[in-house]
Parts: sequence; C-alpha cells; structure tokens
Amino acid sequence: MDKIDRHYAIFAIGPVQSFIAASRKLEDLWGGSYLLSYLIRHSLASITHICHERQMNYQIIYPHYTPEELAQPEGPSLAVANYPNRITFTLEASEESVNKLMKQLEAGVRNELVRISNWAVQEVFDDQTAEAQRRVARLKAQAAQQVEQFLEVNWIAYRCPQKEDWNRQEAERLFHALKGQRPMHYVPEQGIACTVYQRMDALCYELPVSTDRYGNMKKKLQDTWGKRNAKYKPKDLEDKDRARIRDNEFLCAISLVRRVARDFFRQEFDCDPHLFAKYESVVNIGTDEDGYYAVLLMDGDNMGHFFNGRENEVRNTSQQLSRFASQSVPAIVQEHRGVLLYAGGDDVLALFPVEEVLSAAYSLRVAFGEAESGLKGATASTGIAIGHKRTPLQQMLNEARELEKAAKLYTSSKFGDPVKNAFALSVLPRSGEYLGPAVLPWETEGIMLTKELTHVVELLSHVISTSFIYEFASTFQALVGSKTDFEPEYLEEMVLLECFRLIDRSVYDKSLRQELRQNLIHVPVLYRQLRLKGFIDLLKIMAFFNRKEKSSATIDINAG
Amino acid sequence: MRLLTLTPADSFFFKGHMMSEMGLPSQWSGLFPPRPNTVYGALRSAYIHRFSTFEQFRKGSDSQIKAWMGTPTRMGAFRQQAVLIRQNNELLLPVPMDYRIMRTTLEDGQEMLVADALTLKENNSLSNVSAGYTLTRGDQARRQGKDVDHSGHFVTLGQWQQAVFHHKQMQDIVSLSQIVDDYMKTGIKIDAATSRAEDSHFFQMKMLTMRQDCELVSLVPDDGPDFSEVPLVSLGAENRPWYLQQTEMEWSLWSSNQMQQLEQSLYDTSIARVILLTPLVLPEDCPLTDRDVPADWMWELINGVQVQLVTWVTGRPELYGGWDIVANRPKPRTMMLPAGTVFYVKVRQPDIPALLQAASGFTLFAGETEGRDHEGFGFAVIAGTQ
Repeated sequence: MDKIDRHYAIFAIGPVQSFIAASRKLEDLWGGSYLLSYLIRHSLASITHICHERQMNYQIIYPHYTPEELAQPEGPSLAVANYPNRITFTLEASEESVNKLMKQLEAGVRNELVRISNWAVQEVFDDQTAEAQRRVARLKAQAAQQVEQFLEVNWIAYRCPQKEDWNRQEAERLFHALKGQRPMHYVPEQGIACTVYQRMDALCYELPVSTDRYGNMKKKLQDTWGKRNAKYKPKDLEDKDRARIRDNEFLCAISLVRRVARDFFRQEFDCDPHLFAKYESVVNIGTDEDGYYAVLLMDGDNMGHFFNGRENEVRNTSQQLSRFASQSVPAIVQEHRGVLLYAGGDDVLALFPVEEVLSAAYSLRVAFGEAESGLKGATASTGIAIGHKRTPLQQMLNEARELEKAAKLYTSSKFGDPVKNAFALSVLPRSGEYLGPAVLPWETEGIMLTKELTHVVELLSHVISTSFIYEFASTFQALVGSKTDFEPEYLEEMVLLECFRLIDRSVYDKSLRQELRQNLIHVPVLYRQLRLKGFIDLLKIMAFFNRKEKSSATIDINAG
Repeated sequence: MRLLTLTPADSFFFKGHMMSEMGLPSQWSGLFPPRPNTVYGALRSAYIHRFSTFEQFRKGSDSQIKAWMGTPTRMGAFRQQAVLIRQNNELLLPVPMDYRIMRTTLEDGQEMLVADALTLKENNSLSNVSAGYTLTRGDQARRQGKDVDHSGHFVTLGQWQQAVFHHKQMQDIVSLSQIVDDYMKTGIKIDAATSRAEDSHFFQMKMLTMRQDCELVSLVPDDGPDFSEVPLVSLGAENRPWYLQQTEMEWSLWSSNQMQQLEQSLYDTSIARVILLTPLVLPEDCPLTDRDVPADWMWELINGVQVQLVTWVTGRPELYGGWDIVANRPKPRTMMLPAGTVFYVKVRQPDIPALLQAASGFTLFAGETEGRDHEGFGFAVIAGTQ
C-alpha cells in the first residue's frame, strides 16, 4: 500500500490583472472578476467531490466556504465575485494520489473555461445554418487555443512529515519561487489584435494568409463579426454606442467570454434575470441624472501578519475574511446603492453614486476591522476615484489603483499614526482639471475624517457659498511649493485665518456665523494632514461633491 | 563597441500593439523602453535617409546601403547588440529576476526598494513545474516587505556588477518614474455640422518626456556603419525626432580579476547564470517552449558550447510584433521573455574557456531568430553562482 503523507497544497489561477484590467465596459470588468471567482469555486467543488469519492482526508484552509454554500449558490450575492484567486488546503494521501488530484484540478479548470468559451462562440455566432456550423466550429477551435494559452494555473503540493507551521511557510515560499518558472510559450498570432485585449488575435473564421494586406484582414474580421447575432448588434443607428458588441469591436476569446459572461451565468444558474442586469453599464449607477460615479478599491493592510500564525489561526482568519466578503461587503454596498464587482478576502472593488462613496468607504473600513463583521484589529487602505460616466473605464480603474497605492504609502509620523490605514481621493472632472489626490487617514486626533468631509460638503450645499473656495485658491495658488515638507510654519496660521475670513463672507445667513465656526472646528486638522496644495485640492473636491448635494433637502447646520 | 546615444527632442510615445480605431473611446499607456526592433528600424531609416534615398533602398541599387541596411526583404550587415538606458552617463541594467525586489521600510520610516539575491534550491515537491531546482528566498531575503514587479526597475552598471558578482543586495534601484515623466494627451473629434465633440471619438494617450540626464543608448559593434554624420532619428509614434550622437566605449562587464574568480567559480560549481539584458524572442520549435523542458536537452548556448538547463526565472511574457511596412499589415505577434530573465545552466568543464569568452556579452540563439538577433534581442551575459 502506498504511504499516506500529509500535504499542504496551494492551487492558484490567473493572470488576475490581465483578466480584469483590460476592460472597456462594466460588463467586461465584472465578467473578468466573476469568471476567476467562478473557476475557483468550481475547483473548490472539485476538491470536495474528488476527496469524498476517493476517501481522502482534506481540509480547506483558504477560502473558507461550507460545502452547502458551494453546492447551492443563491441569493443576491450569487452575482458577486467573492472567491479569491487561490485555494490552500491540506490533503492526507499518497504522493501519487495527490499528484493525480492536482493534475485533475488543473485539467478541470482549463476544461471549464473552454466550455464557457464554446458557449460564448455558439451564443454569439450560431444561427443554425450549415454555414454557421462551420464558422462556429472554426471559431471554437481558435477560442479554445486562446483560452488554453491564456489561463495560468500554478499549484504545489508540499509534503509535510509533521504538522508544523514552518512547513506551511516553506510551502508558501516554494510556491512563490515556482511562479517565477513560468512556461515559455511560442504561440504566434497572425491576425489583427483584439480591440480590448491586444495580446491576442480577434476571432476570425478565415485565417489570414501571407498575401493578405491590412485591408483584407480587416474585411475578414468585419465579415466574421458582421455575422454576430442580432442581440449583440446595435438595435438601430442611433443606438450604435449601446450595442453589446459594437460594429468596430473585434474580440478575442478572452474578451468575448467576459463580454457575454452575464448571459452564460444567467443560463447556468437559471436564476432571476435581473440579478445580473446591474452589471450592464456604469450609466445605471445612481440616478439617470447623475453624470458622475465613484470607483472604490479597498485592500487590507499588512495581511501577511494574519497569515503567519499557526494553522488553526490561519483557518480562523480565512473564515472571518470569507464572512466579510460574502456577507458584510454585499450588505454595505447594497445599503449605499452601489454595485459590487469583487469582494474576495481583503479586496473589494465596487462602484457607487458619488454622494454615497465616502460613507460607504468608511463603513467598509470599520466592518473590516471588527470581530463581528470582519477581522478584529485589521486595517485597510482605500482608493476612491470619481469621474464622469463617459470617462474610459480603464482610466477610472487605473486611477483607483494608483489611489489605493497612495493610501498604502500614507504615513503620519508627526501624529504617531500607523503607516497605511488611509484613504485617497481624486476627481477627474470632464473639464480636464485633475483634483487630488487627497490622502487622509480614516481617523486622526479622534476625528472621523470621512464624516468630517461629508459634513463640510453639507455645509457647502446650503450654508456657505462655494465661491470662497475659488477666491481662496486664487489667493494661495502662487504659494504652492513642490516640497510640502518645507512649508514655513507661519503659512498654516495665515492660510487658516484667510480661509475662515472668506468663509465668514460667504455665509448665506450672517446670523449663523458664530455657530458655523463651531461646525468647522476640525478644518485645521485637514490642513495639517494635506498642507497647502492638498488642502486647496480637497476644498475643490468638496465643491465638486457639493454639486451632487444640491438636490437634497435643507439641512440643519448642527447636523453631524 | 560604439554607443549611439538617443535624446528626445520632444515628448514621445511608443505605442506597442494597441489598435487605434476611430469610434472607440480609448486610453493608451504605451511602453518604455521601446523594443530593440523599434530602435533598430529607426536607426536604419535615419541612415538610409542621410546617405541615400528610400527609393534606392527599395531597389537595392546603392551598394553601400544594400550592404549595411539590406533591402526591404533582407537584412544587411548592420547589427545592434542591445538597447539600454543611461542616466548621469552611467548605464542602467535591468534587475535580474533571480533577485527579489521589495519595498521595505527603514528605521526612520522611509520606504525604499531593495533587491535580495535568491538561492538555488532543490525542488522535491509536486508542482506544475517540472524543473528539479528552483530559486527561493535565502535567509538574507526573508525580511518582511512587499514584493515589487521587476518590470521598469534598473540599477547602475557599477552596482549591478558588484551585486551580481558577489550575490549582494542591490540598493538605489532606479524606477521608471525616475527616468521618464508622463502627461496625458487628450484628443476628440469635432462634428463639422454641430461643432460639438462627437460621442465615442475620445482618446487619451500617456505621452512621455525623458528626465534630464537620461537617454536611450544603442550598443553597436565597432565594425558597424558610421552614424557620426546622422544627426536625427525619427523614433516612436508620430515619428518624433531624437538627437543622435555616436561615441566609442569600452564594453567589458567583468574586470580581469573578476574573470579569474568567475572561471574558478565555474570550475567549482559547474553552474553558470545566463542573464538577459534585453528581451528574447525564442525561435520556433525551441525545447524551452515545451510545457516540460526535456531534462536531457543539451542547449547550444554559443558555437560548440553545450549546456544543460538547471532552472530559470522569468517574468510575465511581453508582446513582440510590429507593423510590416512592406506588406502593409501587422507583423505576426509572439511572446518574448523580458529583460532580466535568468537561466541557470550546467556547464561542461572543457567548455568553460569558450564560455568565459562570451561572459561580457553575447546573443542568445544568434542566427536562429529570423534577424531578431540583429535587432538587439537576446543580449545576455554570463555570471557565476555561489
């Protein structure tokens, strides 16, 4: 009989960035995140199934989901990508059995993606005619080759003679090392690149030949994509921009499966069709009148600390993160009328109406660090990019990513605050002026800064005219230096004096001046965090937020 | 070796393979440094423009042009070894991937990038990688810190030599943001009838500007064509002008003392490191592209020198392609191994003298990659192991 050993296994799929980042539309973005999440869930189900069938002892360490949750996905969170891109688990079996299982998992995940790509091609190009059958067969073959080439699957099964934690750390170390030994492909692509994901050829049922010039190649593509089904074409000329696949979009297999993922999963889960409808377009975020929306990207800080403990501690961490991702995050996002694209472990990607984003960001941060809803004592950094609904989605994502990085670099040794644990905010107005980034801690000197910002925005809405901001900016813009650390001490007093003088002049109801001073008592704290340039930018950002607030009812000046 | 120094006269943009279709809102970030073939093509065109005409080049009627620059369908003798970046008159080399780059916090709270050498270790685990060895963090590299991608990270030639030779930590890592600045260029299409911006005809591209004291350099052999009378080169998208200057330089990576130590190390360990300084497009049917590289495969590294692959470390493959002006169509695109890729190879003792000859630089798969070796792809150096 083969020797039974304990193995620590890691199974991961990717590439995450390429799968998600190259997105032209909201449904591309959602489709990429959801596909990865779905494939991991599929692999988790396979582990459970194979281990039961072969009577192998196993224990899933990360992510933590019960077999029931895996078997019966349902409810509003069904459409949310909330599985991370890797699984860690232990296995007690012979080396041969473990090897077989891991290879089976790899083959399973690859086959599943090919199945989805086959469905996508059939869905978009099939019209039951004999010609369509031939066309679809050719496209399926090209698509299968592309998804096989694209999907990265990395796994390791590390034999642990004893149940000791160093084995786990050693396995993690080895896994990271082996990721550097990527396969070295030679897969030449001969045609015109996909409009969305430039690394691969757009699907085309006629292969390019060596004598083809660009015009011929383009015509072949137009012929192919001109035969897509009516559902994916513009309904009329006026509607050409709203087509699921535009007339001049030519997609590779990866872009295609992301684009039609909503349709696939709607059919796969046989669920309420409206469940996936909110991923159609960013236009659906907030009200129809809203021209702007916010992209929020949150990431836990120093998560390595939480995964360095003993195995049961790691499993607890995993359980808490899973609960945060599957329960707390969807509830908070829904409460703030947002669209949740991804919530896996400590990562969150969601879109919000502008007026909701600060409050949502703070709620997510608080929930993340609390024992009941997340991981006790954990902190997180968040990037919040606000832009027009016509701003290219990729630009918004890049901006949110940069802001999250900026928040991660936050440090305030002056106040003894911890590194990271902050949020960064910027606005990309249509005018082209870039406002930000304003990087602030969630709390400082006992003040909740998101709440403080919301409060100032409310005051700007009904109590103070925003004109003071532009006067203030024009007065001090010339003093903005490139090195904020070297701003003279006296500048703060000067800036704040002038700021309050201008505010006094801008109050609609002069009798409220004294009371207003009390309401703006924390403004100096904001200045000290941001220094002059950041402070001016922040005021402009708040003036921008104010435009969103104008429609709300009159507020009480003392409202916190 | 000759050094062709290229300094941009204005902002610039290397488009990569992005399709720019009117009617699609697009945002492009381009790439930097440019692919060696882009620089090669620009130098070739500038030389033809200075000394002849493109018509003669097409016909192949100018013998000197034909000899150096070839014809539209055939390459000439002009050869570029590598395209590198120079800052403050010192060459920058990519951080080798057998180093782990991480962002670490110093005692005074300052953050900095450091790179620690990885250690060769036997791989006894079951995994998707068949190689018998791998490169892991040694004790020295177990420090806490956030891993940073190798792409866009360089060190000066002096520090590179010292660190790689002695397996020491690299500090003062230069990031791309210290070499180029960027700004967003925005374009729209105006409807002639309404004078309003047309929907979906909006594009943004990230234009780059070279920081002061930074420049692109092309390393070319001494016996190549003389570029001293070529003042300008059109390089990158929109054919923007770059100033060109030719100088002579000594290219010797290792000192004589280091060469002796390297020789000793190769005799002691029989393991050499082959480090790519420019990207490499692998030839078709190369066993390196097999899912499992055959364990008994003998790799002819340079003429007559056969080695056995022990392990490798590389980054996510980059896209290689371009536009075929002659055929008026995109060139076939394929993947290339990024600069900084490292191969660990087992060498035979009789081959060591020949290997040492190539230690300061040679081209991998010379003559096997359809002229890409002429363009400066696959420029590699040899280092020892501990």
